[in-house]
Amino acid sequence: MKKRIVIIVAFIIVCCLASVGCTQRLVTPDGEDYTDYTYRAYQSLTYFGTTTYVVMGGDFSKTKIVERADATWEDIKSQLLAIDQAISENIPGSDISKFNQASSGEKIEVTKHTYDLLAECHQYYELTDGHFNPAIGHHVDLWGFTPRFSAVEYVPNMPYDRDDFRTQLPDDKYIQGFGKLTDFSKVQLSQSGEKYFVTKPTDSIEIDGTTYAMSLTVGGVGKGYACDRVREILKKNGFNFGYVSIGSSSMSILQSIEPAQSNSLAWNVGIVHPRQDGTYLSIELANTSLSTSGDYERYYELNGERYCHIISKDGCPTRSCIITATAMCESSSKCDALTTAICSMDLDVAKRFMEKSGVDISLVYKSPSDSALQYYSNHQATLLDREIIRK
Amino acid sequence: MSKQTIQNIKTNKPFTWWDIIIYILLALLVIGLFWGIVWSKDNDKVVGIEIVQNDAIILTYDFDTDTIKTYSQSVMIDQTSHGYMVMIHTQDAKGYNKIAINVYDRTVDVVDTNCSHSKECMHTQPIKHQTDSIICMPHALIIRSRTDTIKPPISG
Repeated sequence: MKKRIVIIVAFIIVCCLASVGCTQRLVTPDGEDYTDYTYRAYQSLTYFGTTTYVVMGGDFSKTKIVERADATWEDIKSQLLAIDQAISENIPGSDISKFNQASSGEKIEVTKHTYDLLAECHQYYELTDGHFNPAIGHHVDLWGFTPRFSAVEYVPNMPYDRDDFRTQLPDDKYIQGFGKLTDFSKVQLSQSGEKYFVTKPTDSIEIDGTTYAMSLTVGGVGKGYACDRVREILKKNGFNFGYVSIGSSSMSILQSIEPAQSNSLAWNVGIVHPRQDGTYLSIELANTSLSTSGDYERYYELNGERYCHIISKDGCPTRSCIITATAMCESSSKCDALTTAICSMDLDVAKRFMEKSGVDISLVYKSPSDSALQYYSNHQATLLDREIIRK
Repeated sequence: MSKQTIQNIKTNKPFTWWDIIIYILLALLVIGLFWGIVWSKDNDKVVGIEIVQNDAIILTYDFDTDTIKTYSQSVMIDQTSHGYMVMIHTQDAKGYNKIAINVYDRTVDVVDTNCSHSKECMHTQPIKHQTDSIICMPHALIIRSRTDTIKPPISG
């Protein structure tokens, strides 16, 4: 009898506690009350040839917060447009286009965005021992990974173009020749007052009567750089909840209204499985950036070989057994650079690099013995779907 | 189990009022959980879609009221036995996306396009749930569920 009364009373207490829990105020360690917060999402396809998705958290029952979010989105779009127009090699007149069209040794005035981004690229080039290299613009085009190759009708118009780039590999003389134009350390940055300059290296080569100088592509870090700027705008406007995703590969994670498993302000971030639909890894993250690169993003197959958009030091699409890498740190551009670099490294080199990098990195590689997918990381992430990889 | 124990159980009442109350509470809990799961599944169904071209909304459709609205001359709509066939042209009129809205299955799908060699938007899964979307990058077109649900962050 007494036992039953205890059960009934416990049941009622649990119900009461649950209802009390619903009305408890939620406050961050910084003192921000987010009890009444909801999300608003903004999306655009206008920048970097990919999707920009920005989620802001706030008390949107208040008109002034809605107006602030809308104004913040306008700020973000202006910033993204300025960055895209400065660094996209596909926009005629952009700083990178001007650099690529300039003669060897020429000095070009650029915007502060380009100057800052190239300064970061110098750091990442050195940090990764040249595995991350923006000076592989010619190789990226040679192997068919610039936008002109995804048009409905591909029109060969460069001396090195093949009739069908999906069934014919590039001539080795171009792979080797363009390799002489990839010393990014020779790109010089200078500043005079409020003006910023980039000087193109004096190196040039001639193949079949055509002269080539260095060509840059900053797609590997451009989205991450933009992510970092968007996060700054969100913070400046008082939005500390939400996240930023540019092309899904580059992200800045703020805080989450709905608590994750072990961290009350973290988002559960899924990492795309490199060979199947869905995710293979789930990580609880707050107030950080992350980036994922892999051989599954852009590739074609020829004679059973996969040719992906990540170019190795030898000027060819990476043949590393590492098929995807995810990095988490304070800077999205740094994450971008590190994951691109790791996907072009041999496994042993990558593991040694990860140990000294000071950055949380996860990767998936094909086992040399049986090609089974294996997982390796230098941090203690929350692994929800790890078994999928182990099979 | 000894004969004595069985005899003891037989002589005792199999149910008391307290047993019945607890069973009713448990039954209510199970019914509540079942209803919650079914409701959450229904809640994930797409209720409406919007199509965005160059960052401007050009079409909306509401499944509950079967209401379709267009805000651009680049959109042409035909009625079909399953719902609607929407043809959207790019600003230069050279590109197109053909989108099928199935009002019975509550799905939206790109069925034809000339956007690129790979035609990725055509191979994207149809929109069925509130967080689904289809993106045609070359034609700057987003087809997305009309919802307040936020896409979870997925990297890769």
